[in-house]
Amino acid sequence: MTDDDPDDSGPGAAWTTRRALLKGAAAGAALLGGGGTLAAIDGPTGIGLGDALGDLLQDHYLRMTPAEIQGALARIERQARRRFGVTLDCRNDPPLADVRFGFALNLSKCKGTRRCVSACVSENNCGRGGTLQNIRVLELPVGSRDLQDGNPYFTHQTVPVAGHWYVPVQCQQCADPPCVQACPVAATWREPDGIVVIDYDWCIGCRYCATACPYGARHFNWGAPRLSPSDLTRQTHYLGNQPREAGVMEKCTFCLQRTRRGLLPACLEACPTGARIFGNLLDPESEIRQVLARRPVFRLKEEQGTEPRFWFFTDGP
Amino acid sequence: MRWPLPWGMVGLLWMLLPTVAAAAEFQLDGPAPQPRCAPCHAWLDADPRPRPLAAPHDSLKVTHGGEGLWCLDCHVQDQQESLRGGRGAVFGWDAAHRSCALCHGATVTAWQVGIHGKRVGNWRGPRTIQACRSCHDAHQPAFRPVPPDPAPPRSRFWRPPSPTPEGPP
Ligand code: HEC
Ligand code: HEC
Ligand code: HEC
Ligand code: HEC
Repeated sequence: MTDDDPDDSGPGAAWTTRRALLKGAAAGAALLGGGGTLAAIDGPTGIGLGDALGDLLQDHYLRMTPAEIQGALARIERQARRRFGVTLDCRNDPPLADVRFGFALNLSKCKGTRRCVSACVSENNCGRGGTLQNIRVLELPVGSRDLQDGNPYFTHQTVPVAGHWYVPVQCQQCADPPCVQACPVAATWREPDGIVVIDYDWCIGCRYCATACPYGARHFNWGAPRLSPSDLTRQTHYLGNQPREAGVMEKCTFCLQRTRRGLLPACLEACPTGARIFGNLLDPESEIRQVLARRPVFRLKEEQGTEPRFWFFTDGP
Repeated sequence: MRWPLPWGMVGLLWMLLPTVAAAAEFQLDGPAPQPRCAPCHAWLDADPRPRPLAAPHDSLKVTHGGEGLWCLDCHVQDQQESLRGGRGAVFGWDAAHRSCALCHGATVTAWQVGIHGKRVGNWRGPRTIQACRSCHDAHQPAFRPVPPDPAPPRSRFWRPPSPTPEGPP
């Protein structure tokens, strides 16, 4: 598992500029106060000075009032219109009652097609052609769980290749997530439905969480994602696939913009083999509970006590 | 006092029924298959002997079960638009999975509860799952190798795994 490559950063210095801009603007912003009028001030940068200031003044997601959240969502939609000329629908669907999400992956079925990776990039508005991908499909000798030895770069005419199995790794949505403990500003936390989320606007991009994660599942975006307007998924969530700016952490959120509305994650939908199984751990009839009840399952790096909500299993004895 | 026994049984059934029904309830994804065999087979004499077939079936290759299976292990003689089940049962093609269950009972059960195969559309509410034929050709059911989607750009920090393990991580 590796960190993401700074070489691949699109407009490389974008995130430093943003931070510098915010720093410089801090004094003025303090004088202006109140988020509502700020939207009207528009700078020549294309970012929208008013919205940049609004960004800066914005409180932590969990401390915002409903009105402030609506303001933030409207700002995200405005910024997308400026940046991409696209009208988004950005929401803040809350966790569903009596739902705790879990994922299972059948390693006998996964054939390494990477359809999940492509679907994830597209659903989650990740840059095209970048290193930032929330799912890595590791090619390993059959039976090996040594992620270190996994090759995410395999290029074959066709998959699967004999003697190998394919282990897709993404955020394991740990119940005891070391990344959350590592964050110095509490910009990442675990929601009641079990999804570990990031407040992208609160994240300072220090990357402690990436170091703390045993699965290499958190990725730093060195540049704003390279996206053309037609690439954008328009149904977005504040804590999920809203278009990110440069310099923040990103990760898999079990597609909460979809799953909190009853839909299946994009990776599962794209999987041609049915290797991926998703559902509500609190519902004994759910597919995920059937897997846990009927198959011997294991989790990655179980010994670290992170309590992943992501299980693996095989069909064989 | 004859009624406590029947009422007890009704109660028991009442408790059992919903769970059984709920676990098995699903709809199949996609349009039902439309077999068209009768135009010829209505006129043909059935011939149950295993043999290489002439046109129009000469190009049909059955690799299923290591070439050991014969058409009529699954298709019904004189009733080509149906599939065979256990104990002489006969199913339409829209219930092909029940025919597969003849030889793959455990896999079909796993499919019914959602461990095998794939659910589509939603993770809660009415359940729609893919039929066997979404993924398996009944005559050549093994997964066919496909080209993978592009690999991510290589990170310069990445080194190929060393052939000699450096001890426990
Ligand atoms: C164009 C005409 C035609 C159609 C349509 C057709 N068949 Fe046949 N089928 C034949 C002929 C002719 C034979 C005999 C071939 C031989 O004996 O070599 C045959 C033989 C068979 C046999 C071998 C057993 C037997 O009785 O000879 C099976 C099984 C069979 N067909 C299944 C089907 C099914 C299932 C369909 C529909 C999906 C179908 N066929 C549609 C012409 C047809
Ligand atoms: C393992 C069971 C099995 C065996 C063995 C089998 N079939 Fe089939 N066959 C099926 C099923 C199930 C379908 C329906 C496929 C679908 O739902 O699309 C089918 C479909 C067909 C069709 C129509 C679709 C197509 O692929 O052309 C023909 C014709 C046919 N079978 C002929 C034959 C003949 C001839 C043989 C023997 C050489 C044979 N089958 C052997 C299960 C079997
Ligand atoms: C008459 C018995 C019979 C029926 C009916 C039958 N199969 Fe099979 N199937 C076999 C046998 C035998 C094998 C080989 C098992 C083995 O190699 O261990 C097999 C193997 C398979 C495999 C594994 C193929 C591989 O090479 O990996 C699949 C998938 C499969 N069957 C799907 C189906 C489906 C789908 C149906 C229903 C349309 C079906 N089978 C109906 C007998 C049957
Ligand atoms: C979403 C796709 C999908 C659906 C739907 C599906 N399968 Fe499979 N099935 C697979 C894959 C992938 C494998 C692994 C094949 C391999 O390794 O070559 C498999 C393997 C199998 C095998 C061999 C291994 C085993 O578990 O016994 C059988 C038999 C089988 N399937 C039967 C069925 C039957 C019967 C149905 C319908 C009731 C069905 N499958 C529906 C994808 C699917």
